[in-house]
Amino acid sequence: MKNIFKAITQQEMARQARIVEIATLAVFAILVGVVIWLWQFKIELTQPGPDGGRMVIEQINVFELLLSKK
Amino acid sequence: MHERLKIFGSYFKLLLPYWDKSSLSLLAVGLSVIFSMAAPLITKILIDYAYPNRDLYLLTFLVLFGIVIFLFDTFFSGITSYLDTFIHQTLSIDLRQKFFTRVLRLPMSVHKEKQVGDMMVRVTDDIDVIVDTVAETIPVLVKTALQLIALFIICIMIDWNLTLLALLGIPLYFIETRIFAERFEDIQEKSQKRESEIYSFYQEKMGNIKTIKSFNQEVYETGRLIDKLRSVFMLVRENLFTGLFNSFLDSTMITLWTSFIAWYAGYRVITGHITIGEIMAILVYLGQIHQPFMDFGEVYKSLARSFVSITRVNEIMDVEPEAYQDVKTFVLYYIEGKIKFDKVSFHYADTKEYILKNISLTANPGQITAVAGASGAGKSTILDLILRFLDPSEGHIYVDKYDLKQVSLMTLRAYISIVSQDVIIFSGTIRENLQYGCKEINEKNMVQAAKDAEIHDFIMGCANGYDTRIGEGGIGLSGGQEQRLAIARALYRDVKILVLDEATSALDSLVEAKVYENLKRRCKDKTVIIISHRIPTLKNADKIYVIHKNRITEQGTFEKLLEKKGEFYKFYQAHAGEE
Repeated sequence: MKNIFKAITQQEMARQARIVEIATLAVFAILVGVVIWLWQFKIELTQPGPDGGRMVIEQINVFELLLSKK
Repeated sequence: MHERLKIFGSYFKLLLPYWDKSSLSLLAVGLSVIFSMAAPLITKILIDYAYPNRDLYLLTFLVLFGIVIFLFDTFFSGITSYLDTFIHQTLSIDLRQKFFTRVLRLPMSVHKEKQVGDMMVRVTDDIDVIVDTVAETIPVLVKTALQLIALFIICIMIDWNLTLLALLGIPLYFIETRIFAERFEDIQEKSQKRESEIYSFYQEKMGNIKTIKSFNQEVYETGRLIDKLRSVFMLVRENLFTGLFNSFLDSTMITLWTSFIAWYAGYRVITGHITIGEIMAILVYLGQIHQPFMDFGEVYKSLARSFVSITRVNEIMDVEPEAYQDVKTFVLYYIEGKIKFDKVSFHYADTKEYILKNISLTANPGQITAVAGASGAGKSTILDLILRFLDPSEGHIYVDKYDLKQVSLMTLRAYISIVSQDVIIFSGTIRENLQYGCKEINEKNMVQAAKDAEIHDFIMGCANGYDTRIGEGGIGLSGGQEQRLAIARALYRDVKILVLDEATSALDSLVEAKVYENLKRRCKDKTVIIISHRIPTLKNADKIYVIHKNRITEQGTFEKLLEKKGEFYKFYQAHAGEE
């Protein structure tokens, strides 16, 4: 990690900026992947059941959950 | 208003060369804004659902989700800072270079009008303000706008009733910001003008320190500086108090406004319209609204200040530069070097008083032609006209058979070397000074030029010879040494036309005679024009034109002019003591 940081900081300015741009796009691609995965991943909302266990009341993705008015 | 919008648009044009980095920075800013919206929503779900239902799975998931968002937020915030700094630095270099290039290509008439200090402030302070605005203020403006939009969208989704009420306070805030921005703009304009005056003051006094000392005016000049600094201090104080009052009003308005909203939000909870989680989220968002609004106020003030600076910079950028490589002019591939003035008159544009009137003269290659006359007779204007620092108001000047106005400036000046009465020696080594403006380096020719200017022995006597540093951080030179170095520099360029404007005034007669002897030997095929009022200098000329009251009154050789017993004879008698 230290070597990578050192290698980046020692680059010529324009080249360094290009590396940062590529890194940003790579992280952005990862973010898109995470968002797609989260979109498909359903969270099980539960509440205490009558028998002391948990009762699933809804399966919903995190974005719907955050913006939900319920 | 239309003008302001045009200026605002021009800021985005400045960002165009960095569109890739600006776009990425914008993307990173947008993502950071979205991430910053997540925390209150997570809190809302925790309060409204996870805690009441004792949902440990949801709690764990949301905490992990929060950590992931935090990591992405940190990364993209860092990227925004990096890219904005990169754009700031490169734009600063780019703008300074463009402005400096334009300043160097301004006609001399503009340089004569503007004070050096004023130009310095434009090159430094004004450019800084513009760069700060484009590279810092505009990203903040974009971020602030995105934050406000995102906050209002989310708030509307949570409770549109409450959000619409919150929106009602905005116009009041804008009116207040606008009133203060006008005030700040006015203060900025005055500040920049006074800063320019102070720069010019420093520049003038530093350049004339001998005169100040000899007249014992140190205390007087310090007093004048204090007066000028005091006037700037008054403006700084005015700016400070206006800023404090503005901040106080901003904070008070925002606090009263958000307090009212908080009360209304509580009322909505008590009456069962929204949940506790929702009011918590809305209160956090309202707290966050405070910052973008404060930022927006700062952005507005910063933009107002920058409008003053860009107007000052554009005053220079909009001036038509000298046509160095105008397509309408032609390139001189070879010249003999004959200079001819044909009924040339000159006056400055803002006055009808002639500096030169109906001047006709010819300077032939292989001859030393002198222009003689008393101080203020207009001799040095001839030099400015030959180099096209100025253009004749009437008449024509020819180099060989070509009218100067039709010749490419770049090639014309490449054929002329000048040594002016105000010798400028740059900080650096003697070698660098001698080679100034030369593309090809020839050590032998350089040494010969120094020998012909009678400065070689002095240079060899210095510790590092031609590599001795002179000027700032180096050895000091006497007036005579500076003049000889300047003559050597002009000779080393080995051009067709050499113009010496009082170039040997600080040399003693013996050295001056030797320099001219060398010149005559060296310049057998070159045109040498000397401009002087000194008899020992004029004696070296093959032909002398006498300027009296802005006109040529006599011409001839030194001896013939004396025999005429005319204007030159009177001039000779008045200056005979100089011999």
